[in-house]
Amino acid sequence: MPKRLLVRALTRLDGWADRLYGWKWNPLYQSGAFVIACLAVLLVTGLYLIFFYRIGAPYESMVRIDGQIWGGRWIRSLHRYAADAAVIAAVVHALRMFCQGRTWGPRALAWISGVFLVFLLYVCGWTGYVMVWDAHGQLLATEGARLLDALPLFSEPVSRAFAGDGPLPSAFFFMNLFLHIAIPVGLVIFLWLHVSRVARPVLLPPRPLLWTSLGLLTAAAILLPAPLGPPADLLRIPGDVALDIFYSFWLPEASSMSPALVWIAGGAVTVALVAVPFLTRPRADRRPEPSTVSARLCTSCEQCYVDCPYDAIRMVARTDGRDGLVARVNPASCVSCGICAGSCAPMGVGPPGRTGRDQLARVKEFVSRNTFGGGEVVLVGCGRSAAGVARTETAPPQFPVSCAGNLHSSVVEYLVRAGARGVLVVACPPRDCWGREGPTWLVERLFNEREAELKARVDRRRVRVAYASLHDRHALATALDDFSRALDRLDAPTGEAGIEVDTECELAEAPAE
Amino acid sequence: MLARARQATAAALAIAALAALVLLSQVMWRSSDPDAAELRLSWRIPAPSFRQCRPPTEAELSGVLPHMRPTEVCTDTAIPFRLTIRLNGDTLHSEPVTRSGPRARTITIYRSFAVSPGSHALYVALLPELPPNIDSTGVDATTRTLASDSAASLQDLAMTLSAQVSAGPRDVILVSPDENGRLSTIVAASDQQPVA
Repeated sequence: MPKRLLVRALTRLDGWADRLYGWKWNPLYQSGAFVIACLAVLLVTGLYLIFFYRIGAPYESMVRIDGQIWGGRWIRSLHRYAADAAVIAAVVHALRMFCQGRTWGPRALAWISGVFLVFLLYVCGWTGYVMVWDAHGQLLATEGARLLDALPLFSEPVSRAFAGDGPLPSAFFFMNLFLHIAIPVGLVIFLWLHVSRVARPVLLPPRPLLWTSLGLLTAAAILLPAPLGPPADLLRIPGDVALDIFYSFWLPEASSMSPALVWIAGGAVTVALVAVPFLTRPRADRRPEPSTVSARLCTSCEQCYVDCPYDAIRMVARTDGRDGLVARVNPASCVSCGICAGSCAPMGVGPPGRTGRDQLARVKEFVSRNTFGGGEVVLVGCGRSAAGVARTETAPPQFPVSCAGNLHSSVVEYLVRAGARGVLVVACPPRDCWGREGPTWLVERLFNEREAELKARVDRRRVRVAYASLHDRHALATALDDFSRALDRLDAPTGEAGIEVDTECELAEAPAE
Repeated sequence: MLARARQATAAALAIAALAALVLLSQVMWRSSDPDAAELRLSWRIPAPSFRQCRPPTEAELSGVLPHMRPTEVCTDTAIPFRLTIRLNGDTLHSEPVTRSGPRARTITIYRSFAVSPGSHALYVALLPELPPNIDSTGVDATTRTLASDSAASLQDLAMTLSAQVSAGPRDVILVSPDENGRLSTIVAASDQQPVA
């Protein structure tokens, strides 16, 4: 139930942000790429700061950096704000994936590595704040020592290092600095794992959005530089401290709890997060089936292998006596997005029930039920787009598909030739596609001659693609109005009877399986 | 006009989000009671132990090669200590302390207590809890002696401090050994003079 509410809130927020920023620049769709952009900013600004940081006099060196009005001050602030932005973006990204159910099966590795990425980000932030060695850093260090002392790891309390009976050794700050630099290396490894199961990972937001965000963060760093707290003093109890809520949100609660309880709570949260792929996995009978390939129909064109957004298809040697390669789906990597079905001209690949041939059978039945005598527009809608909630009596006839990328161009051809006034394909915004690249490949197939292309005989003016997230009905209505006006300028459609759609590799041409 | 309004809203929202980020990255938090001070104890002493030795039995010798047979079999027993803290005559804390593990060579004291600011009569003692048959020098009249790697005398390991200390709000009163290893120094907060 809470998940349903969360999904509802998120989809409404998406629709609202789409209307405000447009789907191209909706920052919510770029959450994952924003994390990487922030990490890049952290790397660059960190490289500058490292030249001025002194482990022998950490706080004094921070004061010196803060004194550089034209450089250090705003670069330090940018470093900090980028770190905060990375946490926000990571949380938004995780929430999106959770709500969209993109956590289990082949995506489990991405989820679990993502959890570890966030963990490393936090540890890195922790060491970064301790490096500053102001009152906030002191609190984090002493709290960290208190927590470590609860573990049977050390022969004497780590907290004793912060007793105040002597200066803290430089080795402590060296260790912090080392960790602060070494952990990002771990971040890179986990990041590689995180995207290892997807083809063509998108690592950065679109440039205008990237530069605008960077500009805003820089402006904030210049106009509202991050304050430097009072220096750490181990013989004073820190009083009022400026807390970075994104990294230290847990500190007020944890400092009043017993260390054992903090470990138990932290462990429980970690276990729950790591267990998400197993907890959110649908029952076996409800899981979408992975794609299959009909070796008889496969022409070795490799298009499904190229288009698969999850690298789930390999080309292997044939064993049926014919020359060349045949596509083979790795079920462990297939998320059943069905994009391969749209990429296969002879309609020989796809999830059971959603191959091109299955779609063609469905569209024939759909046309027989709907007469296009009035020259209606047909909505071909992805279930996760606005078309998924636009089913009203006044809405145009709709032909649902699981993903716009799953749609085979032959379906569009069939609808146009059957007399539809126009075909409006409603897809999710490309950066928010559940199958990652569905809308991208769809446009390529319909308008740019990508393999499994829409045939030349189909009037492209009667076909249009619109992007509208689930609750962005405004975008759908606008697109429909625009399309209808454009269609008004065309002649009335003439429906064909006995439509035959090409399937490049007829069953009869191939040897029996 | 509508597009302009939307653009203005979009820009305002982006700036508001950024302002929220900046504000939330520096939320003031009162991390401690402003009317409290802290008494902190921190030191380490060698962990003494009694060694009890006896000749090996025939059974013990039979399982060992001739050139590896020990002349005596010894058992080390850690000497327990008791840490007592009294503040203004009242016992604030009292607990037995011993080495942290069977092979540890030191006893580490690290404790902290919230105390009220002001002047206090402080008494801290870390004293060995001697078994009945051990005299105060740690020499057993019968079979037990202090292990060779322990201090020569248990009296050397006893640490006591009795002093009048004063602390302001959020000050830390640190009880720690001085350069002579005696628990005779109190380092108070940085803006106070040490009190002997």
